[in-house]
Amino acid sequence: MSATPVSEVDIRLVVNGEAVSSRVPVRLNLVDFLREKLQLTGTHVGCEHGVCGACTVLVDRRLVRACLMLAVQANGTVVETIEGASASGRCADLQRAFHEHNALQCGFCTPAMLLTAADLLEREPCPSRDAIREHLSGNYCRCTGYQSIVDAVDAVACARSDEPGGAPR
Amino acid sequence: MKLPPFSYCVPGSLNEALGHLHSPVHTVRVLAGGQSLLPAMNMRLSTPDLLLDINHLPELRGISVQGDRMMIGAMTRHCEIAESTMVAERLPMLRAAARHIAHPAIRSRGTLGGSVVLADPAAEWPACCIDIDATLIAESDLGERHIAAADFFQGMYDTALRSDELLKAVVFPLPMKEEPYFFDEIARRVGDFAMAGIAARATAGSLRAVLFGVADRPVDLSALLPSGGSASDEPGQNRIDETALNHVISRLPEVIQPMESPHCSASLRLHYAGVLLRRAVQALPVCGAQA
Amino acid sequence: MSGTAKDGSVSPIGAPIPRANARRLLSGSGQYVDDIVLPRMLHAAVLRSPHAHARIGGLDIAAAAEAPGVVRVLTGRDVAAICDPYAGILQHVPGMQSAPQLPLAVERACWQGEPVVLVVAQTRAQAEDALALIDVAWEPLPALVDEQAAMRAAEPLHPGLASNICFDRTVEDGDVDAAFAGASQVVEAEFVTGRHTATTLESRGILADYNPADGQLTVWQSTQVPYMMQWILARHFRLPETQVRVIAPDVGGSFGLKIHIYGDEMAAVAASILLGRPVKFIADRLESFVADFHCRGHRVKARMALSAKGEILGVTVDDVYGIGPYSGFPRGSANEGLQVSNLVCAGYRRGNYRARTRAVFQNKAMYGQYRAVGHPVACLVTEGLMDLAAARLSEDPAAFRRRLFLAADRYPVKLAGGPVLEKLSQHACLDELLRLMDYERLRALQCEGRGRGIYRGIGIASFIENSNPSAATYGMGGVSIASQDACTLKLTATGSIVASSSMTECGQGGYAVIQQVTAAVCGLPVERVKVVIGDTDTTPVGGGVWGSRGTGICGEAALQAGKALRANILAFVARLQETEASLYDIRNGNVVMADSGALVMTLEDVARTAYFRTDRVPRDFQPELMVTRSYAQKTYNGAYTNGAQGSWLEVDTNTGFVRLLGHWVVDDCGTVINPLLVDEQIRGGCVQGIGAALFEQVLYDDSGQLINGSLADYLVPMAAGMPDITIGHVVTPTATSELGAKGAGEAGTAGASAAILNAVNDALTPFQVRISEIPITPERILRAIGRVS
Repeated sequence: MSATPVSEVDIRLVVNGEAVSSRVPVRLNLVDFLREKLQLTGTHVGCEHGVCGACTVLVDRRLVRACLMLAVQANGTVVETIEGASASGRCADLQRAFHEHNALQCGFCTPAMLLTAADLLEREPCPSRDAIREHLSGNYCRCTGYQSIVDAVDAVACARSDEPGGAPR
Repeated sequence: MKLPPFSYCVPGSLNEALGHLHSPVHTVRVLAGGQSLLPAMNMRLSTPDLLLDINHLPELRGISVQGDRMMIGAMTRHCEIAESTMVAERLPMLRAAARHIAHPAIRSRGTLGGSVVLADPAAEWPACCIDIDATLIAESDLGERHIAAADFFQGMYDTALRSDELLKAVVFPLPMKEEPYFFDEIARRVGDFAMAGIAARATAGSLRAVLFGVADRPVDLSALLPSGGSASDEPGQNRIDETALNHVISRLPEVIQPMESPHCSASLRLHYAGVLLRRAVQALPVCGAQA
Repeated sequence: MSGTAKDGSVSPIGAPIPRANARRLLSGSGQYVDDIVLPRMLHAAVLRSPHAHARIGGLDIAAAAEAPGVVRVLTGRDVAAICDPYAGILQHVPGMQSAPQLPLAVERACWQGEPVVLVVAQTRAQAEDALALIDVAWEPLPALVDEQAAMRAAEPLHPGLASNICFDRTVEDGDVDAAFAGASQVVEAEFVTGRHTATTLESRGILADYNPADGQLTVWQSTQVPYMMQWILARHFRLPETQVRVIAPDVGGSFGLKIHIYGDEMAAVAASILLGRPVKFIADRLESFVADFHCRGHRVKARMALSAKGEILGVTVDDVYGIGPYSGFPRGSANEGLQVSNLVCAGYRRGNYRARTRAVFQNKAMYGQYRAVGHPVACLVTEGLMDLAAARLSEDPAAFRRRLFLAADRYPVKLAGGPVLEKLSQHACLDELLRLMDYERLRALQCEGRGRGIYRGIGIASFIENSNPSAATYGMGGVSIASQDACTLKLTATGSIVASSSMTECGQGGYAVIQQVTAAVCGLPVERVKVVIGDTDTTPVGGGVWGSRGTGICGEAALQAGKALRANILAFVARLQETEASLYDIRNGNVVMADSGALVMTLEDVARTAYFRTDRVPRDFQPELMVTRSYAQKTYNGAYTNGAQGSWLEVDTNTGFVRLLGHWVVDDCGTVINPLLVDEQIRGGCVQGIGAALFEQVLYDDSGQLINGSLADYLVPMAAGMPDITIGHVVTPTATSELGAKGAGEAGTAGASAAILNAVNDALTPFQVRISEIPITPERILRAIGRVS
């Protein structure tokens, strides 16, 4: 990192478990870096205002809006996108539940919705339907009307708590 | 839109950062959480020459308690405040307030200092700072400056912070025993900017209440609220009675110059101020001295 | 074909099967237009008019052309040189007029946001940097913003037109003036709906790739209608149609937004043609607010005359809506008004009728179809009038409606204005709705709540929704949009089926419908049917999805193709076996004896014989295991569907906030192919209707500037605050097809706003106020009940 003003920076970070190094313009935001430099197009650009949530990824295990972070700010961080979460199987049960409940139509909000739902269930294993709705409110969906998404997350929460060692409901 | 061109630097120390604020040639913007600055830059409404990233300054991090004060570093994220057990135990109003800020992904990045220095009229932290009588610690080449929260917020996006200063921390006095508090806001949807909000607490027999979202800066209602009298620990006793409350609500126009916006008229804001004050009074046990 | 087959297997038709083409979306491997990268691809950005109305005095693009990364700057004249102008006029709407339009404004910009210059550069960021270097000598002109002012304006917006009225249409039936003269009671209201923008999560996007070596233009576009685009691109860029290929990849929501011609997209195509390189244009969110076609925005004066016995003697409607400066191309900005004027009170014995609709030119964003096109407004007006009438007659709103529905056994009913209602099931839907809602219990809860100062309301809305449209919508208006669709089925070498269909997918389940119908008719497992859609090179000609036509029309074509393929397979097997085809059936992917189920040949065997072992095929017989069938709905203007919605909500009279406690929909879309898809379409549509009722409006100031053009200021529903929506079905298949399926995609949106508005008014009955404008903001409620002045 430089204390001298620059317009390009070499960054090193871990993305979906892989070490990445790249020289990036400082004005490139994280979502465009992921999509254009790393061809990880599962993260979507919906507004660039930070409102719709379609660009949500995990940085150092926290949900962030990748459109409101510069790529250079991700230097030294661990980033996970839907591709990584999917390949690792981390949200396989959520993906299955979304599929079975038809909790996606056009699919544009879906990667971010899955990551956000996974985050919720890690923090709150037995959320009420209202709590699910509130946590997902930062992710717009224009297709489903949300109910099937809530149903899917609810079903996974139930199933996880039914497993040995799962949190009681 | 895509971000406009700018230069970028990441100082490693507060002194280094302060050095960059003086540039006569460049317009400098400080990048804290970025959750307000970057949307503005994404719309090319803000086009600084130099972006000063203060996310790596150790001097600005951390939540600590020293005696009867809690210091929260300016770069503390909203989520860190919401999840801190220290805050939950000693200043629970802050935890309640944090949960109203936008959505989880925004709270991961947005900071206390960024919110306070931006001074958006609908922001939660400025009202909390005033209600809890916080002190803001600013730093410049000339040293530290302590500014009372009551003096800090001077208008829409306007604070007492000088252009050669950075906000280092916010210091909150800690009550000796647990103080009942009430925090609420009225927003169209979860996480939206408040059309009106209130940060209130019962302390030493008085009700302290600060409104936000209704005017260009937080509005401290101390001047309007009855105070004094003997403290009471009994909830339900010694509330501000209905007559006193109605009287205070009728006088709100004296202390509020409500903002007019497409989604919310000035009249509606005034009305909401009254609704929130009523909720606060009903929730908190306070002394019911004559108004 | 639906239900349980002879061997005990469950037919795919009616089965709630998860969508096969959704898996890749769940893993982030969907492919939307912006995900596609081509070699030497360039990016476009658009300079847009900051003024609602201004002459373009001069244009200096020199500095922009020299900016870093910029390859070309296109002005209106550059594009006009290779693109013919267009005008959205439907020839079968008498008197409809609209001025010709070019992709980029040349002499005058007529709305804030109109594209003026296209910059093409190595990156989008560089293109945007260059926009700031363009110097335009704007000469602002007076802006006509308000519809009423625009109608009365002395000088029309376009010198070549007679007025600012795009079209003025009146539908008349009987003597409505006499009806009102003899009325015992008259109820009336002025209904106003906010102007909306579709807010698809994936904004519009196009990637145009013109190869000068062979003159081929390939276009990837987020669109519902690739064939329409192909025809228009060929026509307006003067290319042979066979040299234009349009591909719709994954589409991130459309709802009618992505079926129009947009100047920015046409300009991007022009750039590719001029440069001979791929050019990508993605409308970002900020520009989408001023660039996308808006919708709704009606002001409707409606009156209903009632007899002493409580019959409707007559209804009058006067609808005015503003459509921006040009009628949208190619579909015209008329359908919203046409549906409003056709359908007010259409499901009831409405007596005499006169409905006038006028679309007005103005200096606001352009305007076009959006989910349920006009039906939500017609329903809002209808169901609002019905509640007013019921209250005036002191009748329960549900009972009043049931009493006045068109008789259940007197269909078809021909409406003034052209539509024919084939067969509605309004009584059945309302009865089921009241049962699902437990209507009496809700009334009791409402009454009990009022005693405690809790204001809850029940809103009922019976809605009618067009589907499976015929050529009456566009073809007869001279617009080259297909009302016919087709499906080609081929048996593969391993005994699977590939279905190539003119259906398109924007998340609603088009792929699944074709897959399930084909599997059902041909007798093989769903997993052995692959569907190919969205590419004009590889699919049959058709109209794609809009107007709730996909399932009913594309599905029927698949059904007919499936029947034909099945017949060909069985005829082939019969010829090989030297017996009769009627002895056989296809089940679970095998040709079997129809009576015993014994295996005769696997489909793989059939294919291998036909393709590889032609030596085993009799010389006089050529099996045709690839078939195409097409279908068009030609019996009526459209197959009208119906349903009923109920809303149960609570109004907080301190804050004006509305809490949605429950929502119910009973829908009749005929044969249901996949209830999972239909139910989610209905829910999604309802939530859009709820958005309309409570949140959505674009706001303009007096100078034609959009004042809430960002996603922070244009509010759409979030997960929190939306109700769970209970859905029931009544099934009245349409006789216009063998499948019997009607559309369901727009049903939710058609009725939800009306149900919400009626429920709010019902909740506020003790205050004796009536709101007739949506969105019902907290401010509107508090002002109505006098809590805020």
